[in-house]
Amino acid sequence: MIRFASFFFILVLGACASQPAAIHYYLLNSTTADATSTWRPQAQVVRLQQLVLAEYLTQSNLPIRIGENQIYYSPQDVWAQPLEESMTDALLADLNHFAREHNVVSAAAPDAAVATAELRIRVDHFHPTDSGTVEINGTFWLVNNTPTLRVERTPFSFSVEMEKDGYAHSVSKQRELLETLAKTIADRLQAKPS
Amino acid sequence: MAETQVTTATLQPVKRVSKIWFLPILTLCIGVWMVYFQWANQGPLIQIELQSATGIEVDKTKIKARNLDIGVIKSIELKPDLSGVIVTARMNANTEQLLTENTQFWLVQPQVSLTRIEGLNTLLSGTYIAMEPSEEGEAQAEFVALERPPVTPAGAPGIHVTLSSGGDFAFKEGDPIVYRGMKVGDIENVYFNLKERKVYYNAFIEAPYNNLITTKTVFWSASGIELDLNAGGVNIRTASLETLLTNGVTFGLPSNGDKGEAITSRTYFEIHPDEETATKERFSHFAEFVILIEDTVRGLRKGAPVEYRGMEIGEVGQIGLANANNEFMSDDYKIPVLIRLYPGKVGLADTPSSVQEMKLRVREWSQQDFHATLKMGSLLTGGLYVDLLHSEGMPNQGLQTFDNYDVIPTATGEFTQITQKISALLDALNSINYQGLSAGMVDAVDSLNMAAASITATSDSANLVLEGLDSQAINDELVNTLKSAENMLKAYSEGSETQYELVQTIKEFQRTLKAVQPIMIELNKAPNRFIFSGEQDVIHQPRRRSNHEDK
Repeated sequence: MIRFASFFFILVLGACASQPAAIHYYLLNSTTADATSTWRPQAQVVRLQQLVLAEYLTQSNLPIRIGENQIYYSPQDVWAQPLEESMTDALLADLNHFAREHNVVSAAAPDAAVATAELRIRVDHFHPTDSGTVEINGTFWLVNNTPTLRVERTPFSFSVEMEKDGYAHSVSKQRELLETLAKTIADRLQAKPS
Repeated sequence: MAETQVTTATLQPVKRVSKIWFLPILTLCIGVWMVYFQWANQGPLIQIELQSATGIEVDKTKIKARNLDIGVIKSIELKPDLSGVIVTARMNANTEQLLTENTQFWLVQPQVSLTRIEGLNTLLSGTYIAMEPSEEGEAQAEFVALERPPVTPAGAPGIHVTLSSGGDFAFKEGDPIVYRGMKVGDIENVYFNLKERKVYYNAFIEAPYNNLITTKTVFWSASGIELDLNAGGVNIRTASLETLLTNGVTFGLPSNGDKGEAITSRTYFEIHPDEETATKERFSHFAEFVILIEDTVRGLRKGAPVEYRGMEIGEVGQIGLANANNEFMSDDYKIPVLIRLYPGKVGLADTPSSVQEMKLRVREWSQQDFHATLKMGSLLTGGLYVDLLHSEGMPNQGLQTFDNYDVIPTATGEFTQITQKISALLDALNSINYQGLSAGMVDAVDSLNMAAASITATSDSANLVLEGLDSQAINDELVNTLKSAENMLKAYSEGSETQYELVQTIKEFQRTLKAVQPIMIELNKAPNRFIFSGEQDVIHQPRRRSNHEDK
């Protein structure tokens, strides 16, 4: 009884003494992209496989690179949605917007069964830096099964400079980088023979 | 006293013969007539010499011709030199024309032999003298009986031939002459010529088989069982049952068309030891060649066949020819074997020109791929024969001669090749370390035994366990379990409510963890933060580049 009372008393003190930390939640895919993509009949269907992120990017806290190789996770800034899901949604919207002759669908979608090509993306870095830039780099593969199996591997690396401070602005810049990546992939799709 | 009167008889002379004399006179007349009749109708008296008088009785022993009584023995007496007996016989009347120099007599007694059984009727009727009459020749009254009945009845249709033999076999009177298993004649008598050292046999071939005897007919011995072990294998032959027990002669004609001319009078033929020799003797011209054997000639005999592509065209004439350069002791000595090839056997004429033609052809082939090799004809006997054949890959040895004989190139015999290979194989087998191998095998077998014993023990235990199980109950339980598992999996399969709730629960848990994560990081940095608020850490934030430069 005494122990319980002591424990309860300590808790009350802790609750009184500490100030709650302010947590900020960020959404990657809030920027308006052409979300209402129209299905294009007769167009080639491309299946977007599950995005592969570097392990350190799967944390819910927003990272920032400090120096050459140090990563700092912000304790008060977290992703509202798992980054992988946000990135997939953003890429699908942008790809269907830029690739006018293709229908890009997710792997889980039912219409992925009629896909004749496949898109795989691996992201190695996707964060702001302490030098005032936001960067993304990785590799994407285009796999075409018809008429013969062809695999096209393309590394990518993009960077933009921040115009404001704060994680909110860096998130918007990260969204821009995704748009740039989607445009690059769309250009490859348009150039590849069906 | 009374007086008696005396009367005197008056004699009167007899004026005629008494009737009582009629009967004796009649009897006398009859007697005289009978004597005359007997004397007028009796046949000639002849004498016959016999070896012995066995079974002959005076006035009882008959002389028969064609089983008809034509005479009777009247007396028997010994010859002056005691070498036989002379019987005197009274022949029937009208038999004079039958008693000539060609008439034959012989004593008929029961005779049982391998070739004939005759005269058994004399056991009941008694011995008699048989006669073979002949009306040809001069009449005579003294005869010498034959020791045994003549083989051929006089006047039988057929032909007489004379056969001669210089071999080691001998025939006797009565031996059969067979053709295709049928008896067609007999050997009538035998004569040995001391000068020529040959035996002559007079034989009779009865009709119609005498038509088979031509100038090309060959005779050979068909006695007993003929067993021949040669390169062709084992041959067992017998002409007939009779020849199986006695000697016999058979004959044949060549199969290659030339039948010869029919003979109508006594002709001389030679008796060969066997058919093969008789057949060979048909061809008189042959070409001789030499083959040089590097390995062994064991199993090769003189007379062994020489074949060309399976056809017998010759024979081995001689093994091991001696020549002027006797190189027997040299290391590379090759044994010369003389072979004879008969043109007649390959369809050519049996003439010297065919021999030359054959020699030219063989010379031509010998410079190409023609060669000879020794092959085994029979595994049973090990006999070898010479095989002539064409074979690609044979080195051209050019035309060689040996002692003026053309040499046919020779290849190693197949048997030698086989033995060489077997020797190499045996050497390889010899070099194997059987001791180590057997030790290893013993160890392996021991290990296998132990493993097998272990498996046996395990299976026994398993059997015990299985026997204790109730299979049916287990099956039912398993089925129920599987059904329950299936239902459970359906409940958690995609699209089910349970699976949806589970996913939602996991997502909620993840969200909760994310919400708690900042607090956990803070506690990780400073555990007392839970109670005391400490200094604020440096918080890094992304800044624009100009802000960095200002700093």
